[in-house]
Amino acid sequence: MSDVPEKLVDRVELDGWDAPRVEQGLARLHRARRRRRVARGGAALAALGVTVVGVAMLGLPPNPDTQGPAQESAVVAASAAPAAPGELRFSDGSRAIPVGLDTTLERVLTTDSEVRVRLTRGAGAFEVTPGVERRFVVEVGSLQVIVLGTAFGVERHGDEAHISVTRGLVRVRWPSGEAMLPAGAEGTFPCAPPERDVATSGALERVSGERHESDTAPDAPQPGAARARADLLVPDSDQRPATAEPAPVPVTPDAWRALARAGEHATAYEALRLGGADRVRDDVEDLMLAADVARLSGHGAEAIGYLERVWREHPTHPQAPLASFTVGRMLLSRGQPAQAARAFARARAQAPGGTLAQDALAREVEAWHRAGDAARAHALALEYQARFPAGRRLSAVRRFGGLP
Amino acid sequence: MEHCLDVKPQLRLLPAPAAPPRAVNTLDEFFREFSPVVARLGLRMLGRPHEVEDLVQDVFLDAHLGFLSIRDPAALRSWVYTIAVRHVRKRLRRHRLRRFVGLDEVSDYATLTCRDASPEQRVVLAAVFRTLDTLPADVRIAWHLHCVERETLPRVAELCGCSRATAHRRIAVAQAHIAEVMDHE
Repeated sequence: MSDVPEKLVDRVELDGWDAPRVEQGLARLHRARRRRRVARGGAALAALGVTVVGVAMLGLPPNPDTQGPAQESAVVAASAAPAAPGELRFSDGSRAIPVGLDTTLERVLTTDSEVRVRLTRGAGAFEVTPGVERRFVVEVGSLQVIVLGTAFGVERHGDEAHISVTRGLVRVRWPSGEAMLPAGAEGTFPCAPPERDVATSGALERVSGERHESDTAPDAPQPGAARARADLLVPDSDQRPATAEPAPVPVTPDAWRALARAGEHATAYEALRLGGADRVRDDVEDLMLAADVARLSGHGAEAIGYLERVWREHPTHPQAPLASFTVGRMLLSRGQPAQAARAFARARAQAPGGTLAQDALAREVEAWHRAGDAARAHALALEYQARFPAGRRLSAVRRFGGLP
Repeated sequence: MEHCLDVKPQLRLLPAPAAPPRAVNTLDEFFREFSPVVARLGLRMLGRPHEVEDLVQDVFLDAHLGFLSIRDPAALRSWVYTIAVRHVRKRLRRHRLRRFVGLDEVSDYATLTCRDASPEQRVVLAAVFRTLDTLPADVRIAWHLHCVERETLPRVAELCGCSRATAHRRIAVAQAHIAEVMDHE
């Protein structure tokens, strides 16, 4: 026996550890880091919550002088504490948790399309289950915080509300403007109680009669300016009541791009969705970035749409083969091998001598094999073998192409 | 049967010097630079392609906080290697325990992609991995690091957290087992 075991082991190769797979791994790593951060923060704050409960059970009177900072921490802490008194829970797993004894949280509306919670006093922490189509709205006086899968805290001080976002993205709407706060951002916004003649939404009108009397915050309606410490705020000037003054909010219409480049793909996707498809310019760089955002946030079909625009509308661009190749990979993983094979063929045709040609041909063999077209897989495998006799995918190509 | 470890020191061919590693300043660069290294090491040590991606994630989740404090690219590679070996050891121990209680799924080593290997060589390769599966994790790792990855004995001892003598003994134990199987193949 002349085979040396260590030399055989040395020749073992990993199939498909290519650039797109590295990028997928990187996106997964970013997601895992965020989850770990949240979990660690939650555990630490849950411990803090247990300590606070323990102190309360020992009968120590709360010290009003020190309650402010404690409340601030608890805005996040409460999200990890189990079943806090007065906590509101919803069927999709979302939670609204009062923070501090003087907090008043009310369930205003619960339908299939929308949940509304009102914070009339104190502070609340909110955990909204992502990926649910139902809109989650927190009302603080005239201020509305509209959520699409996130964790954040709201603390009301009279006619102002301080909002800090720990995960995801929220849209904050007040009578004089609107902004988006991504994860890590915080801001103070005016929240004077809504007046009957300033309708902020149909849903609010439907429920306002039964709820406004419980609003115990100071009533002087002073539409003020928002003070946000967020770097990324997205404007929406469509809803500005005549009674309100324009808010001097710093705006960045391209928030989704900055979020995407920072690796916050889920947040970037929400920003892109709220901003509308016309936020994506018809140039290859923007389309590829939007495709990354959609793909890495788990919205493959939309990513394919952006990538197909790249090769349809910019077929001679150097990135077009990569777009086709990525479409092929995504279709293959989505169980559409015949379409995937055609995408790989297109990638090869767009750059026959390019760096992707070898991988695209190998993938095409695999795709036709999976599509059940053994003859075509075999023919392409022979082509691969002839063009790349020492190709790194030769063994896989042989296997899928039925070569000896 | 050729042995990679003899009792007497011997001259051996060293791999050609690699190109100098690039500097990495962000997590993305760090991952792009070193994830293929970790993936390759993980695959060859575990023999299970489907576990490689999880291993890479585990390694970089551990490493992402500390990599900026290491400025020397060579030291960075060595450090990542150390973390990867630690995670591989955990996985090998878990497999061994699961196998012991009958829960480990049988891995089909014959499907591994082995460069330019004939069908007979694939059979041998599968037999080698099956033999390695029967060895304790530390023995297997020491053999792999020395004989496949061509690490020096002091480095093997460092990565395994043992003395050189222990590392030497572990390698010899693994060699003896593999030689026995190879004689039957």
